[in-house]
Amino acid sequence: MPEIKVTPLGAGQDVGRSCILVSIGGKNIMLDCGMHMGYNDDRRFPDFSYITQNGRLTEFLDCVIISHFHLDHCGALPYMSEMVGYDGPIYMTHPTKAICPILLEDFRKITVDKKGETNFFTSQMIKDCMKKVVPLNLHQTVQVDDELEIKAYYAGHVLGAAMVQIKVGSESVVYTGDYNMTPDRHLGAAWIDKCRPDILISESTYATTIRDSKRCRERDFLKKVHETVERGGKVLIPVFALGRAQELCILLETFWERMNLKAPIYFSTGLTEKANHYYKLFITWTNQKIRKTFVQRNMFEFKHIKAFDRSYADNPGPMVVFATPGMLHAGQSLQIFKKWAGNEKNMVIMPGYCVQGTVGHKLLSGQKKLEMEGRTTLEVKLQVEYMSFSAHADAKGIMQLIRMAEPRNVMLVHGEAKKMEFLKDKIEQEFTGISCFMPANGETTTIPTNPSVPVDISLNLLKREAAFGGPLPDPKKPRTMHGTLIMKDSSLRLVSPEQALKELDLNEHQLRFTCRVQLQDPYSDTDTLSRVYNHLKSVLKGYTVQHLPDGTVMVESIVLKVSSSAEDPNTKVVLLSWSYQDEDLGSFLSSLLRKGLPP
Amino acid sequence: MMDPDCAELLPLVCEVLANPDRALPDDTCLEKLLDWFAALTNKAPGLSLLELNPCLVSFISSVCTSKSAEPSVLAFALKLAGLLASNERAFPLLKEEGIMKNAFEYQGWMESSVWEDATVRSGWIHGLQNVLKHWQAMQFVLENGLLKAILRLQSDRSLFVASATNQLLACILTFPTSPAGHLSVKEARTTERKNERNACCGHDSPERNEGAAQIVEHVEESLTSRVPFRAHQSLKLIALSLTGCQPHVREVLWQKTVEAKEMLMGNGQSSLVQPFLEVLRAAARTHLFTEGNFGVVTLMDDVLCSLKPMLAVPFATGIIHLDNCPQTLKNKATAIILRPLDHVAALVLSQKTCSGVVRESDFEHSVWEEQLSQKSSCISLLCLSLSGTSELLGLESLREDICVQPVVLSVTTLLKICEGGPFFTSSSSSVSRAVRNLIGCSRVQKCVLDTMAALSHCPGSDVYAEDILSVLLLVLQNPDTDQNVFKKALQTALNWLCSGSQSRSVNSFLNKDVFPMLKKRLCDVRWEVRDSSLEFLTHLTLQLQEDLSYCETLSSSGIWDFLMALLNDPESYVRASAICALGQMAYVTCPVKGPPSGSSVQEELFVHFVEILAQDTEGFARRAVIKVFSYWLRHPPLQPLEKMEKHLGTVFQLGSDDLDWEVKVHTLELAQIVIDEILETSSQTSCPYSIIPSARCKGRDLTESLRKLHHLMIFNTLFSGLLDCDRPVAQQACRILLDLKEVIIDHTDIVDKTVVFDLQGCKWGQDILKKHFEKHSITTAIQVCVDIEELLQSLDLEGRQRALEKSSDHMENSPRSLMQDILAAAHTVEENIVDCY
Repeated sequence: MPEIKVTPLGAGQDVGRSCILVSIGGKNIMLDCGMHMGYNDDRRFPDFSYITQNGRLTEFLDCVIISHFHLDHCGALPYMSEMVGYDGPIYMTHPTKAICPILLEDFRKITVDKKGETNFFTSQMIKDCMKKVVPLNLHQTVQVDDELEIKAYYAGHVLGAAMVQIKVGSESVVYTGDYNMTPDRHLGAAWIDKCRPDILISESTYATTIRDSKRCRERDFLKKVHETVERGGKVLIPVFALGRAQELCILLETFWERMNLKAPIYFSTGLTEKANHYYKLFITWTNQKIRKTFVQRNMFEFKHIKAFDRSYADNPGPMVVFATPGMLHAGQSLQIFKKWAGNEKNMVIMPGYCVQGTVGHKLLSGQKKLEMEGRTTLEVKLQVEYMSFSAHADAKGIMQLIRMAEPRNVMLVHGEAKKMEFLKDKIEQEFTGISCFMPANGETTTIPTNPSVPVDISLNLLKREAAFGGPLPDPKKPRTMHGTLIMKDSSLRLVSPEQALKELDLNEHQLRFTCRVQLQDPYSDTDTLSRVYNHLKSVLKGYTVQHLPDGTVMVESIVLKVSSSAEDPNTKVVLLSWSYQDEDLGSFLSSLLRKGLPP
Repeated sequence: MMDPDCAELLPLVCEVLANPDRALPDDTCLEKLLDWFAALTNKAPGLSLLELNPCLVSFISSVCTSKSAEPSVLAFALKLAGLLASNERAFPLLKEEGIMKNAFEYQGWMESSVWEDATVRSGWIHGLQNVLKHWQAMQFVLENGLLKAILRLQSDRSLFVASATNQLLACILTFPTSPAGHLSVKEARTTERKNERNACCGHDSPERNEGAAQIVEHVEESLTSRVPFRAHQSLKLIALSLTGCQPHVREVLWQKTVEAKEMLMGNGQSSLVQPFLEVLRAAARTHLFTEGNFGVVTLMDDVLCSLKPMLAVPFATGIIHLDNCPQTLKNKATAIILRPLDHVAALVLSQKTCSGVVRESDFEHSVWEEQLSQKSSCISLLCLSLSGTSELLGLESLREDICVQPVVLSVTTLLKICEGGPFFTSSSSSVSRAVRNLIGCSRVQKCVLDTMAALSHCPGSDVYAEDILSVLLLVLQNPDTDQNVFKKALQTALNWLCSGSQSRSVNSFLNKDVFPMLKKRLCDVRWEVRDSSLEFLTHLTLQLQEDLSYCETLSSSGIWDFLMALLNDPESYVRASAICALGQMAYVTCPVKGPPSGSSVQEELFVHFVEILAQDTEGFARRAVIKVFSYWLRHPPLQPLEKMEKHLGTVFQLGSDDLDWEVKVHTLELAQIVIDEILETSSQTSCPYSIIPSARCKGRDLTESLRKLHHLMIFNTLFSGLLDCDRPVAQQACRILLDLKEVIIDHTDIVDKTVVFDLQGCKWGQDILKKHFEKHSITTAIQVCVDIEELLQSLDLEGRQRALEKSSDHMENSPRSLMQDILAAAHTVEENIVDCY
């Protein structure tokens, strides 16, 4: 039985590094190649030895597909391709290909900054890895090889995020990556067509949450920033290089414009220019509103947001600063934080995930005294706010996507086990016939499939079919064809039996079907045969019915003989025999005779 | 020993972890905690750890007996119990307290629903693996019937559990017979009691024999099982333990494998063939291989000939690496590796065989023919053959066995087929099929190119350089060549161009073919192609810079203008590579061109690069600029670069104000070069005729040098770097300042106090002032002019260096911080929603 196998190496019942292996129609595909930021050693990368122990990934994998530029989805890519060694194709969308190296560089910097970091990829490795990337366009089918094809769909979530459909023959898998079913300030909602995959592998980060609208969170954010600035305080927003930072910049820029605020907003690393460039370049990936207004005004050209210089941190008066890195563990954001932490008028807003051990993580867990270098203690008096702006589909959104794609099975990944359990029950309840899986990392889920096999049909056979007067073949409508299937030279062809015999140099053997029908007819055998002949002659107009001298009746190729039963002379046995060409007629005659002869 | 602060926090942490209602801060904290315990148990005797921290025992006990423990905490407790019990003296205590029973007794777990969770099963296996460091632990496993449970987990549905179980079983099978093997020499000497036990726990131990027998029996059953995964796992186990286990166990395991051979090999298609071959390879590293009566060599030989080509080639590749391998087997393996390559080339060239190594009689011809006639198997097989050939060529011992010439012919033919040249218009159906299968196949092309690169290292291969380079040129000239194939072709060409000794023919080839091709590729629409071309040019120039005729060819090639145009490329990677290529080219072509009437090429380029440093929005280009300047300064040209010296101050100013940390680091490296240069010059030029330079003379020159450094903004760069928030920048600056300090302090009595900073004018001034006055407890802000020597002495550079060496996250990574985080998270009411990054 053909089957699809799915094994998460990461993202199985967790929100760590995504890395999912799919085997479909003899092809092996890796979906995402993420890293876990919480570790400093090899544990941050998926364990590729489970794929192949000899390290020859190129021989095993047919392709790697990256859904979007977040590091938990692409962070291990240069490690895999340049250090473990993978020479095959890597697919991602154009924006992901452009932005991915920026984030990887950003992350490389973080690790270089740490002590004892070895075995880590270099700038050159990131570039070499990016050269192996084949960019994808939305809704464009890309042929990886003769059998394997992939197609990307819009996923929302972040600029360039995509869901992918993977198809081998009639078997298919859809992997959602991270997606968002509601449009936000700069991106549209995810969409997929009714592609009815054998399995839909969906993220489930917010599997149990019906999230309050993003607008609400945004209003809350603006209110907090405004209040702090009004009372003369400073606001620090630690961010990653690209992504959420730009979204927040648009938010503040519009708000400042509307409220005519004067307090300066700074962005620490000159990334606004870079972001501006990318959002301009990939304007088709943003939402309709941005696309429409783009001609009059580029949403990403900021009037109020200016480049930051470290001496500004000591300036008196209110200000808002976006600084990297996002987890407040080193660099500029930490330096500013140390300067501002002692003043209760100030505020730090953490808009994203922080790994254990970082200052960001400590702040979020409410720690007020932080140990710094040289065992000095930093007293945290400033206000600490956490605000998640991440754009994932909630339970409602996931159900909506299932309705859209109509999969035969669903697999939940990238979420917490307990929450997945809840959603799994909900899916199986609401969609009868759909099985839902939630494998842990390292567990393989096997789904049997029912593939259709493409077959070439000979022209003669088609002509013959057309000669029967039926409609001409239409590829969209299924239709039954009769013929002989020849499997030769790894191709499958349906041809007429005559052609098959000729091609394969075989002799024809005639098969005849026989059947006995009992009749109650109190006449002699000869008379009964005549009565059969007359009855058939009257029913089968247009057919050749012959009464032959050897005591048989023939209808086309069907031969009928009558004999009496040994026990009861009134019971007659009619023996029918026909060749397979007259199968329909033979069955018809047997059922006709079973009804008896007219008086 | 455990830090007193940590010892204080530990009971509280244990309490939090044991409470299922308390939240955990992060999915990594338990792993990190275990790392810490592993380090502690390695350092301190386990008993003292337990005695000083009784909370550990009660924690493990309460979690293992709790009905509602979180699977992750439970797994943690099991692994921890294993770690603690790995100490021979701690083990009896844990056993007495019932911990070993609670944690590892299998029956209890079987009845519990938590066992369904793979995390718990994995914790149990890893816990046992942790504990198996001494004989008491081994006895515990064997006496309590745990082996049965372990064997059951060998085919667990979780790959992670199944694989860890195999590791554990291998650990049991390879456990040393003498317990002393697991102890330090000191421990072994000091404990009398242990010696007594040694006697009873040797390899005669009945439990031990019973255990091994149980595993062997299980393996035997699995090998003939109808469930392929079971057999697969047992084969893996044999492969894992064959080299390390006792000879008698090894022989039995080998015997069982041989008996099941037919079943395992099936018709050569079975999924078990691969692990079976792993066992053969493992056996080849043991005494079984060299002792003829075990028949390893014969079996390998048989298997090699009967395997399907797709498995035979990688198996053969494994064989060629074996030590003590009989020559006949090695020859056969070599022939198998070369076979597909040879077949396709011979087919197309209408020859019987290409390599001369392959004998038709060795193989079942039709099987190979069939595989090579089908597209997907043909491609995979060729790739395997090519990577095997590369490995063959890499092994010095084997190079003699193969003749390079036929391999060259095969790979060049293959690359030509992939290129689809009109050359192959044979009427034979098998030829046209092979050609059809391979035209434009980038997978095969990449493998061919790797093999070609390996060929370039073979002694005497340079006679084929022309043949190889002409085929490579076909690939490079084809505008449809895949970007990665193009890159590999360039790298391979570089290998061949730089390995040869005939510079004249190389230069003519470069001039006639390579440079015209490069000019086209530098205008390719794909940035990857433009960038690879630039990288190639840079490396080529670097390799051939000593070759004057190359420099002449390069400077007359007209490629310069193309490179200049690429300085405005939209892709920053390309701009950066163009800068490196131009930097290298300007350096080597400068002496060729000679100093023109005006400024030199290098000087003009310098001015242009300074503009890029000031204006380019991307870090890559700016990093490249500074790197080129460093290269130029390290390798000074014949004519001094006057403009460069004049504008270096601007470079340092721009470099230290840059937003990119790597630009700053490279700027500091540049500063180091300039400092070395200036200080060296000063020491050389001072009183050249006196044998011992007079102190006065030296002092005057040093003062002059310092003034020069000041003038070039180098002190500005160093002090600014010292306070940078990025550690690598600060570390580099600090290192240079410390060196400078040493030089200056050495001559403190002779240096004129004339290098003085006006700190108010500097961006870093305020921070430096703060540090300076902290030391001198001077509160006046009026005094802002500081002498360099005074400044260097007042800044605690040594202290700063020590702090910087520790890294920015050394505090956060400490166990104390980890425990504080766990405690803090447990008291956080509001849950922060999980998020991605």
